[in-house]
Amino acid sequence: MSQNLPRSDQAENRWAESGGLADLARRPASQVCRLERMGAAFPTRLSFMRLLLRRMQKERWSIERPKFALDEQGFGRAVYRVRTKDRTYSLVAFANPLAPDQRTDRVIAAAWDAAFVLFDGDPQEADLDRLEANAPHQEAGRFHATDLVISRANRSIRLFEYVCDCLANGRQPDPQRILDVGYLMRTTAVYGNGKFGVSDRSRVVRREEAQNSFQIEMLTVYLIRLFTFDQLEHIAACRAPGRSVPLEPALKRMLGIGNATGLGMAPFVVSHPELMHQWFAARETALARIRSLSGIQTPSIDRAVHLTRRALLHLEQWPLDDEGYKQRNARLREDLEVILKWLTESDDTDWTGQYWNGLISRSEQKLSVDAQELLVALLIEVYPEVIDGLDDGFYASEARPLNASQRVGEFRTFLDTRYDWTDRFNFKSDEQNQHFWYVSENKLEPRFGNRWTDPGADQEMPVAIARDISSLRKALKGYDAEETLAQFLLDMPQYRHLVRRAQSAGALEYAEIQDNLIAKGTSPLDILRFKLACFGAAKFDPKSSLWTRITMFQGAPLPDEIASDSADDWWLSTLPSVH
Amino acid sequence: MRQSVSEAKTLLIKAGCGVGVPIGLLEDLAPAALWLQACGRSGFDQALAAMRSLDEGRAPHAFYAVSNADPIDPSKKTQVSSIYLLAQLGDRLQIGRFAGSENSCFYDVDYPELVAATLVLLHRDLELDEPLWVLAATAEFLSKPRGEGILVQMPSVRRPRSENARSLLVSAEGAHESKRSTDILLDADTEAVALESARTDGLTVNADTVQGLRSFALRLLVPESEQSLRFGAGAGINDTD
Repeated sequence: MSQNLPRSDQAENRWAESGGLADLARRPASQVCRLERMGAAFPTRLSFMRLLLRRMQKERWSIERPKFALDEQGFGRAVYRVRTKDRTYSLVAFANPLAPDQRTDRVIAAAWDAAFVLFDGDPQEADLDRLEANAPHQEAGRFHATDLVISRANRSIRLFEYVCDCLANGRQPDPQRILDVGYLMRTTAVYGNGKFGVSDRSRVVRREEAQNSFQIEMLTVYLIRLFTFDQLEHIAACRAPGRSVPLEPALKRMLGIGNATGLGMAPFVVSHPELMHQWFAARETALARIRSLSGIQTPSIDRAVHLTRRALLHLEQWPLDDEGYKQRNARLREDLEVILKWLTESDDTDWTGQYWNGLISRSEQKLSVDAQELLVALLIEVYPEVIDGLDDGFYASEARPLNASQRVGEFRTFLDTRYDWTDRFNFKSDEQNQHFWYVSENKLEPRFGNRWTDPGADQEMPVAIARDISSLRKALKGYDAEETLAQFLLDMPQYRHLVRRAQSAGALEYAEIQDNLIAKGTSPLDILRFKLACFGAAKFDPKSSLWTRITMFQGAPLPDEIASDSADDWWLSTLPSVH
Repeated sequence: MRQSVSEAKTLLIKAGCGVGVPIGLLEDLAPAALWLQACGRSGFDQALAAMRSLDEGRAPHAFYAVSNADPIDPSKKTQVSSIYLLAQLGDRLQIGRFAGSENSCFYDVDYPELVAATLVLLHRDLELDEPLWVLAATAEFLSKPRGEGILVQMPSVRRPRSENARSLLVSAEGAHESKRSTDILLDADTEAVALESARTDGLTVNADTVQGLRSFALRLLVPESEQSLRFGAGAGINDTD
């Protein structure tokens, strides 16, 4: 947690006073909506966790714990009540014994250390009883419309007991061990929007605090984090009454909530093109605004230097097993040193012009994609005001009907313009058709199969947008330009969903991943990382190209710190004392 | 049983895919089925039944040979799939084929209310200047001009002799002939209440219907392979931490 933010530059003030018009173009989708770059995404000030905590600060939300009925082993129920500006939400937590043979962090598990429900309002005892009968079963339970989000988590075998033992013995845990894991509990799923009978998003979407993407899910995770602290300290206190100590806030702050993220997230990104566009567009507009700034002032340079140093420390404290990621982060460290050199060796003659624009261009010529994307996130951090007006539109509008009256010729031209990127792929080659996405019988989760060796390609999910739009474009060539799409779709109803998608998503600059998601070498991890970075997750720790561990809310302010001026300054958080 | 709207919609689309219906048609079916269900008109029962018609071969996976001059022979044994027809007629509405004074009659439609609902919902969205009137055996659907509202009532006009219980009459002109019935099934106020209830509390769907849809949706699932279990998402050297 830190330091005062710099005063705004005069140039930035001019930008704000002029209505925030950027005079440089945003980076094109052909550059940013690519798997390689999505797979290098970092959390930004626009990430959903940051949005939530800023709202909590601005609106002075309060958090209470009206119920905490845990036994000495930490089993029982607890309720955390959040009072927002207009209403109340409650996290209901159930902690239960878990037999060793039932412990797995895979989504296919059927029992967990703890189960959670975000309840709309104040739950009564009858609600708690109902939830206790269902929440621990998660997917196998049934939920009411008052139940907004469900989740479950397991204690970290590596950390929970160790930290508990330290506290019970009156000492603080080793900070390095805290950093090596980063969380006391790891969730294996956070379900909202109607899944398993929980409330539809439509119930809350008109509420200001819930309108933006994943805000109630993020609130759920933030409250789960509180529960893990309280449960830990409660168990330690029960073990050694009078001797145990609470966990130091600095260490507590560096504990987030872990998550194991698999393929379930990837089809979501593909099937929500409008959301994807908004997430990208906000970031890219923020960057364009920064690139347009001139007359950069010393405090902004100092802030950028400070954040670059923090990023270097963050890299040192980023635990990794994956060899590929280790190599990437080693290169990233070198590149960050280069950025630091550029910044510290620049002077006010450089800053007179559009210094940041030059820096971004230079990074694109000299540095890795990881470093380029980290620099983008860093610069957005330097200018908090730059995201004004960009962070309130992360939701999808009502779907528009397919326009069947459009002429084939007009639609073809539209596709040739907006989907010309599909021409990059030769779908006659086996390599471009190597994979398929399907839903497994086991837990109904998406999977990524090999078309040539795995069964199930006949039940392929409609995720291969590049291949399918390419096929649509070919099919349209056989039709008269003056024919309506209604006639085309009578002949070829298999393209109906693609016509609908292209008519809406095609008009949005950043709505499509401009790569072939079924090609040999495709790493679904890239899609996962993009979405997780939008959430605000950090310390991606891939276990394969199909799933990754992450940490959420690591470094985030504790409830009693949210009101402080520096509460929002936790981008790429670090624990300085360990260094 | 209570279903959230999103899980009900997802289930419906998966079930339709399980029956082999192109997903784009199901994207047209879903709003109609959800709206009927929310408004208490068993849209999901009808959607499931329409899927069964297709699955059991009582209705072919095909569009209607639509032409006012060339109606399908009502003596034909097979039925017309409402799932195909609703998308087809929705497109016709967009290209202006229901404007003017001509009535269009469609025979042997397996579940006419699904088509009627699709048409009036689309008509309202498009805010067309002319009203739209759709007469099914069980109800009469009226969408007022310029998106001003939908009315569903018991049939108030005499049905053409050539009709059968599964026929559907679509007309802009007919809207003027339609009389306000004393037996209103749905008006703007009751619709608003029903949709608000669905928005905040979800839907109530017959448990057997949910089960029936699930059985179709299950056809999409692929058994886990040994490879997937060993190396798929979530599998790892250190499974717990």
